[in-house]
Amino acid sequence: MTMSCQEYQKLVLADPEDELGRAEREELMRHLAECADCRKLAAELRLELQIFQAIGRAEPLPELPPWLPTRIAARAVENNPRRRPLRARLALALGAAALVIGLAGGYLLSWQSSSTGAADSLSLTSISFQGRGIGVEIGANSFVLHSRDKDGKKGIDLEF
Amino acid sequence: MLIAALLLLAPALARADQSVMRRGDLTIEKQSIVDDVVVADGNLTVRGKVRGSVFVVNGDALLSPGASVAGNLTVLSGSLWVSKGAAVEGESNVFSGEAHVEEGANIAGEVRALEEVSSLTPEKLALISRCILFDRKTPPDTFALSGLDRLAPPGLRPVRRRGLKVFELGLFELGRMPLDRDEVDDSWQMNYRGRDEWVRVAVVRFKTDDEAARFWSGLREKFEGRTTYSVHNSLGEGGHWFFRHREATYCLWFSGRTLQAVMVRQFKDDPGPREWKEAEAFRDQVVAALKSFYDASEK
Repeated sequence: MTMSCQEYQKLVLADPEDELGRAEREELMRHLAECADCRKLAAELRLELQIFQAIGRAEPLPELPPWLPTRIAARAVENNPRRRPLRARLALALGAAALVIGLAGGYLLSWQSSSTGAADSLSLTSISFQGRGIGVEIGANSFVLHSRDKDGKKGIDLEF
Repeated sequence: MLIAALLLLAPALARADQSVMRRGDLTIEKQSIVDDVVVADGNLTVRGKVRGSVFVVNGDALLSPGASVAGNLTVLSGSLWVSKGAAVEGESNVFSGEAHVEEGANIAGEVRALEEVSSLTPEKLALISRCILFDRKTPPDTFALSGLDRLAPPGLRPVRRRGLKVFELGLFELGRMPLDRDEVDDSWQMNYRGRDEWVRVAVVRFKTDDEAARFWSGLREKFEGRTTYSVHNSLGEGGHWFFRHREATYCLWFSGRTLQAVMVRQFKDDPGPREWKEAEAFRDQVVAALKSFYDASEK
């Protein structure tokens, strides 16, 4: 029976010495060789364990199998995607430039509307402005507000 | 009679030289001088002086004649009323509400009111209201953090018998923040396994308050832009921060020289609102268990 990524991730978090049988370890190894998300989680845990070991704990730490980092590294190199062709990269660059110009224009327009709208009630779905200790960006689905003190050290920050 | 009157007045009187955070209605009385003010799910009436900023969510803010606010004034899902003779030095911003400024009010900064903010949904407002106020409880300085090995959050099984001393704060897939060995007095971290989640609790006690505050600032600078559903409040003593990253939900806080983190990582692909609600309720249960543990140890 094939397991889901969630189930494999539970195996990654298990103590391999005590909690995984040989068949489970091998099944996990096969899956990690194929799945980038689970590999990333395993690599993160592996690094963490290495750091714990480096600081010299008296208590023995659970080890991930020694083959794990090697296999992960080998497959990561194999799976590294090739660079896009020049034309595709050029198209991407032009698209990005157009996006930046569009966003900058939108920002300037919204700044103008908020400056002139002082003390008036506005009903907008998109606005962005910065003032003394305050920064706001509101989009159709996003709401970002930073309200800081004079030093910029303390305050309220909301990001959705 | 006098004692009864004082008891009735006590909640409404804010002590000088400190920030006030309250769920429900709050009045800053005429003689009171306070730093920052945060109110959730209630109306704020200011008759005295606020030396810092004012933040109100799910309620109105009313500045009476003679009231003053030196910093910024922000109202989410509520309206602002500034009376004649009241003063605001900073900027006033109202989201999902109206601003009413009486002629004769002394407003130095800009006043903006966005009556309808479509992205400020009831779900987000409820989250802000819930997270903006938080009891930043930390263990007493005399408490040895290894004592947390006895912590037993409900529904969770510790991965190992004893917690680890750590020299970095690991935040699951979000990343890790190294700790300076010379600055850390004590630390403790434990991973737990639940039915459908992995939970991590970390406590770091720095040698000084300044080192804790500096680490907090560094943490914010490093990770702030990569989180979602983020509610951060560093007004008053210390600070707290709730956020999500990928499938995990986080609650971090610090006060004095101690920093704490409770993280819950779900094993669910693309969790929906129901899953997030469950995970965040679970996270809050672990936070409550931690606080209860400290309360019990203090006794």
